[in-house]
Amino acid sequence: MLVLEEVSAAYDGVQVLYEVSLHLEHGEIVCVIGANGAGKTTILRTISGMLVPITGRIWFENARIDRLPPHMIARRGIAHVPEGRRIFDQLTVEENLRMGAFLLQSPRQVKEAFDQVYQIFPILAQRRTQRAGTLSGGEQQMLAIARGLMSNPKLLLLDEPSLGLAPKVIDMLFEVILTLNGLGKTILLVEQNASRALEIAHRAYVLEVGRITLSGPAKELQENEHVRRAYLGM
Amino acid sequence: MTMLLEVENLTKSFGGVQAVDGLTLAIQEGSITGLIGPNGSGKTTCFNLISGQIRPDTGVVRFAGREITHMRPSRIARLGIGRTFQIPTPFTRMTVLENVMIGAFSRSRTLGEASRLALEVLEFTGLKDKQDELAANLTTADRKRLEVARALATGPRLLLLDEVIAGLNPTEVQGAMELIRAIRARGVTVLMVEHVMEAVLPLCDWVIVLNFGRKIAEDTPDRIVRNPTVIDAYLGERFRART
Repeated sequence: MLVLEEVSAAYDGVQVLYEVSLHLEHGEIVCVIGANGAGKTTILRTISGMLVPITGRIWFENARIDRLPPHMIARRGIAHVPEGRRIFDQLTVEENLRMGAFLLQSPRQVKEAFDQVYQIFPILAQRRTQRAGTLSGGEQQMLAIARGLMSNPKLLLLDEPSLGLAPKVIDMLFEVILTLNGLGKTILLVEQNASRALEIAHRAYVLEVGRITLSGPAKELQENEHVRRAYLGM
Repeated sequence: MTMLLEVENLTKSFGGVQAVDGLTLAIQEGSITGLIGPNGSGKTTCFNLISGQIRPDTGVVRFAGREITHMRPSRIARLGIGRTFQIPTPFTRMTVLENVMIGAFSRSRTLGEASRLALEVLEFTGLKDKQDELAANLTTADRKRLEVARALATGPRLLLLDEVIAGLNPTEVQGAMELIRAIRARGVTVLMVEHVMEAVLPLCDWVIVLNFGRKIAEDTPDRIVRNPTVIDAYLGERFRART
């Protein structure tokens, strides 16, 4: 479904990714684990077109996307849920969701998107007229994911969704990710919480200083000595 | 048992929302105490009330036996309460050293003295190698460390840490835990807000749990994780399964 081939990327001339290759199949949950500053967020940004790679190619459903602007990539079915939620504080829950639906053509599609999202996140339906800035941290994260879902994407990019959330809310969040996967969404997950991410992922990549150093089925990486020491704190 | 900080019946509402509701707690000198609870339960408001960023509607805050309830934040800082902020906000266009010197100015009048104090803190927090870096260029882990260093430079007796571990990977978490233990070993009392239980439970001597602005439990970490009220409100079923 998604293929990155030897993608290198840089910010202001400082190289962050070195020939990163990875792929996702339809229906998979794949996670990328790695230290702060390893380049995990940058991978997501190159996929969604926020950053144009300096070299390398990205294919989505057999078409090159690495030179497309972000809104064209979103139109093809990729939604990026950024780190730190980035919701519109001053807008209501419903207005935030409407922003996520900007690609949809007909009012009927918009209504269907709202129905689906409110079914997955009943709490957001309850809070639809509330200003987003007044939601709790967990609710804001749910809203950020729901906003991404409004465009009815095939692939969801999730950047550190568990950051700063209470343990019980993290449980809910990972349940939601599994639910979305059950609904047919393919998911690329970047997480600091490597132990939880590996529990739900099918496959995983380890990113170290901008390079993929290890990859395989999540179950195998959970047993890997290096992963256990460096990322699982064992 | 000497109580360094005492909070009595503290209340603060924003609009119609009771953010902190009749909160009473005491922090023992020399301890590491955890303050946990769901997102929005009043933990950060509690820090803001103690450090003087906001004024309570009712209630009393006493530090080292002295009432500080309505003092300005700068005065409270000079009396010995240092704090970090949840989202690190260093002066990005200043160096690491300059950032820490700003903290040191709360207790020194000269550049030379502030610089000496700041360098000592940088050495202690392991940021000495990066003293000339612009704060903007630091990684998340180092930004959090800088946040702690700035607060330490004010020479606190009580340090309030607001989520300095969130967002770190396990190796960095270990480093942060070592730093917090070293801070306590220097005689600084620590009160920390944190969701990362893998750090809170081994670090803390005592844990206080808030929900809807009220204290719902306080106990040792090993008893807190088995407390049904805390599991229901905060820790979730995975912790019930563990016990």
